[in-house]
Amino acid sequence: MKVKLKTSFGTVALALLWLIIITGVILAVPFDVVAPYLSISKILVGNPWSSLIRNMHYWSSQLFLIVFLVHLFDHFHYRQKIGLKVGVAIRLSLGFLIIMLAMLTGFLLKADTDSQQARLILESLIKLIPWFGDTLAFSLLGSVENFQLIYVHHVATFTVFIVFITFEHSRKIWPPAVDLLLSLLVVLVMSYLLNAPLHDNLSPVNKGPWYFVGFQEILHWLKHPGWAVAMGFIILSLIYLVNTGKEKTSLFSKRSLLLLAGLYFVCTITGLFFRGENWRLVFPWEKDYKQLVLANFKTSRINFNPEFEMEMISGLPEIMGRKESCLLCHHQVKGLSESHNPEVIGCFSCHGGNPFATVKNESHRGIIKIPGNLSTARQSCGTAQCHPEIAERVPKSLMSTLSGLISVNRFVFNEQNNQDSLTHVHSLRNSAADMHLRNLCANCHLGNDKIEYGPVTEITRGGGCIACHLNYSPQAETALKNSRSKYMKVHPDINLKVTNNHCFNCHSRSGRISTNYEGWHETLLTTAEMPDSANYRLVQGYRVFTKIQEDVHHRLGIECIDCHHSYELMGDGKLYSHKENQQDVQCGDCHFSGEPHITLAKDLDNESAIIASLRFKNMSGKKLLTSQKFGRPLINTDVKNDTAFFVTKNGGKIFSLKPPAAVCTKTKAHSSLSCSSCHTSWVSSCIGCHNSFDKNASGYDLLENKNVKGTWVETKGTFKAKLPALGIRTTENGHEVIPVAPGMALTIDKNSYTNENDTVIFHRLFAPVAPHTTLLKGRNCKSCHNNPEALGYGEGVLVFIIKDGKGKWKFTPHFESDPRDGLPADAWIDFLKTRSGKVSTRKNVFPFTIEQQQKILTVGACLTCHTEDSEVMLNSLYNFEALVNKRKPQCYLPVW
Amino acid sequence: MIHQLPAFCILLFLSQKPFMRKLSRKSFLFVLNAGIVAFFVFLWERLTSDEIKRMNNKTSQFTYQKGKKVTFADKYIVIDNEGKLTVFSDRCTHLGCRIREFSNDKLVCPCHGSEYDLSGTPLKGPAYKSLEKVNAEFSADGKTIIIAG
Repeated sequence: MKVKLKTSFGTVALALLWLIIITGVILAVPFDVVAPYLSISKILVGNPWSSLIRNMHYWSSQLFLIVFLVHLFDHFHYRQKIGLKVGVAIRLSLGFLIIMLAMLTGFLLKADTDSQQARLILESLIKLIPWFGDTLAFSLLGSVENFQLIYVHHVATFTVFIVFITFEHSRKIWPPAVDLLLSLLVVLVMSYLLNAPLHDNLSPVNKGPWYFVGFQEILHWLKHPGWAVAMGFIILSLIYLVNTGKEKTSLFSKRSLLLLAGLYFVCTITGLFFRGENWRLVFPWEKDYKQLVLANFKTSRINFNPEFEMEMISGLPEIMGRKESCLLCHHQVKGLSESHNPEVIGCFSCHGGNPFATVKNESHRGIIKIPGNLSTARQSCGTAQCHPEIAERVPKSLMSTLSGLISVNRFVFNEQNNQDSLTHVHSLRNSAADMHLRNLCANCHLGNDKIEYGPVTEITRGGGCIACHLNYSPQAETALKNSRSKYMKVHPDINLKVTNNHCFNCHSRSGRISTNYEGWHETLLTTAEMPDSANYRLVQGYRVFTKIQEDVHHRLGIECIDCHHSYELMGDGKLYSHKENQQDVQCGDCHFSGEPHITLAKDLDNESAIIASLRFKNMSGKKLLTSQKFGRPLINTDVKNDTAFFVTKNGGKIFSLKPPAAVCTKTKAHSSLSCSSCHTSWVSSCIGCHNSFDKNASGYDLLENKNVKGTWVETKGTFKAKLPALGIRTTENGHEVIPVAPGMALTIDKNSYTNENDTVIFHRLFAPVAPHTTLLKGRNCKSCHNNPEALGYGEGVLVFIIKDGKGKWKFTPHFESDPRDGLPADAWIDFLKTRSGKVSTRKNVFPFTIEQQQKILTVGACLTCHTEDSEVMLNSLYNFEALVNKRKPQCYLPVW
Repeated sequence: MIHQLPAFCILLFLSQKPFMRKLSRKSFLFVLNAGIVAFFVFLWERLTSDEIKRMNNKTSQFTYQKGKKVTFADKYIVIDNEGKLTVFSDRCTHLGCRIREFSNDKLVCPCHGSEYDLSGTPLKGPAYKSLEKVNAEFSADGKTIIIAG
């Protein structure tokens, strides 16, 4: 007996409609319209059977839509006139609209960020309908604060209408049993394997449901979205005309609909596979494609046998409006302070992954093992709900860009003609200068990813946010060592306790301010040569340092962050070419004379207020000093009864701030001197460095963290701790005297890298320095006025000779003249001469002019007879010229 | 506009010539149905417009985050330009998506990619209208921003 096959797309659609209705009724039990997002996350995380029903509801409706559309186009195969009655045709066209609305309201009821944005778009579009747009929008969507009306329309209004239309259209209530069973089977398999989507509310990518992604793409191109509304009416009219129009009209309508469907398909593919954050085009070969586009397709499957106890779900905290499955396994994790309490922010906020999956591999898919690296900061620390503005600023700060370092390096390699171009470490290519940095320096930047667990040490580099904010307690270190156990119970803390050790790993190099500050001077000794003495220290396992004068602030227990505030360390959002430009706090901000620059605690900017309250709790009534350069508040200061106090941020030590000595401020003689030009006790000074490229040696690319063949090699010359030389920095207001040191007194065998017959480059550039070796008492007068090194002549003997009634300065250098420029190896300038052109690592830093040298040495001549504390020298601070004019006959001024 | 619709329907019908000549059963039923529909449309419009008014009358309050260049709070974007405050609605003028991102000195709409500068002027489409400025006041202690509905 032949069995007539009754199955058609229509009957399958009817079967699916029944599945939608049945699963929808059951889904109403766990679904909570008051807190829809929370209730769906609960379903996903804690109730696999509810999850199955939700998935069935979702997949049966998606399949229904597909089958319905195919069914619609199936009718269009018939060339003859369909010829429905007007009323039926209108209701069928409306049915198309209502089905789309039913689908869309189902999408909205997830109440995640995708849904909320879709709701707003829908509202705006409906409002564009003339006359009753506003009324219709409100009647459909209701108040933005709840989902009640959307829910009612989804479960009642639209469902009843669809059932009515379906019955009127098909004259059937029951689908064939085979269709129902087959549909159920397909839906069950899909529902078991693929969870219905729910946005994690952290990803910045917002997309509508798959069937409206094409519409989203169209809206992206439409300046006037009213056209989209008009297009909707045209489509409904075309469907109507297909069913009622004469043959030609019907054919035209069909063809138009097919053409539109084709175009819509292209838009849908574009939207689904090539659009990322902010609807930006992203292609598969781009770095972020996986995270920005493919992440939209990430879904988990139902797990009926989870590793955790189902009873634990009831104790699961609500995290930012949702339940996360992470804490079901990683519960009782200790170690994080209140700001990053996992009971409040969960695990997903920082580590990513899938917060709703209940299978380990799926939960951990795409996980960020070490959050805080700048490469992933926008998905962890920098998400919109946490620290977005800081994640935006830090990559622009000098500790991320290395702009000055790169520019100066290219300048000395003669690859660019100035020292100040703004650039970024990621712009390093393969030139001789750039490879020099890649081989020797390019890992000391915040963007260098930390890839291994463990505390910040002398050898760690970079790490973005955690370069400064990561702190392992002893328990966390022990937990890490024993990490073979199933779950880590102690988490390292992420907090404001930034110590000197966090800065040390990078800042013990180059200018060496960290080691200088602690009083350690690097030697050229090898590890084997290091004496067994407390005065020597091994850094990073091979660098030998010797103990000399520490900074007075270090002796008092003041740490780096006590002076350097958040806008200096994390940047203020602007790009700077050199550290002295970005750096804000100056000595005079704390050691001031006269009226202090203050701000009230209640007027603090938001970031400073948050940091201050976290550090010091009660800030009410405090008067805080502000920096003079950028007017930033110094949150660890307080002005009470005309006395300014300073408190260390980590230790809580309190000091009263001292004004500068009278000699610094009460006379004009030294008004152009920076504090550090006098109060620096020593700087690291290195000359005679030679750089060449060894093609055969195995090297390392510090930027890309990979082994490379060939490397630049730096051969160090002499290395001493000594008083700095002095130079002039021109400023907008004139000039100031600053400490300088031989920054780039070196040779570069560029030809060894380029093979282009480049000659060996020789430079004698001095660099402005921030030595961080401050002394309470400034250097004595002779150490500048009678010191050839201070004047830039280098080591040697500088004597004032009086002969035949005339005084004359004479200098005998210690080092022989370099044949390349005729100057002694350690000199910046020749005796009583000066230089211009390429003289320093900044375009605004120069050696003393001849006239300035003469002025300094004139005072030096006086100091050959008069002690610096003599009355005449003290008086000279007030009016040197007058004193010179009244000098005694036996006083000889130098003749030039 | 919509509340004039019932009256408009009735007038339209009454102006029909057949009605003027003779009121048939069919015409009577049409009038009756139109009247019922118009009655419900009228009720629907009144009810909805009252609800919309009530919804729009809600006052919004949130903490002023001083010095923070851009703050997203409630339904608003607060721009603090060195003490000079401007408050915008956070709805993109293209299709009303909520803007929640400030990147590279631009406010960016996540839905269709429109971009605005800090004065609310669109820099990149599809939006072409500026963000809607909102009148805001400070509370007496200067710590709270109040936006009347």
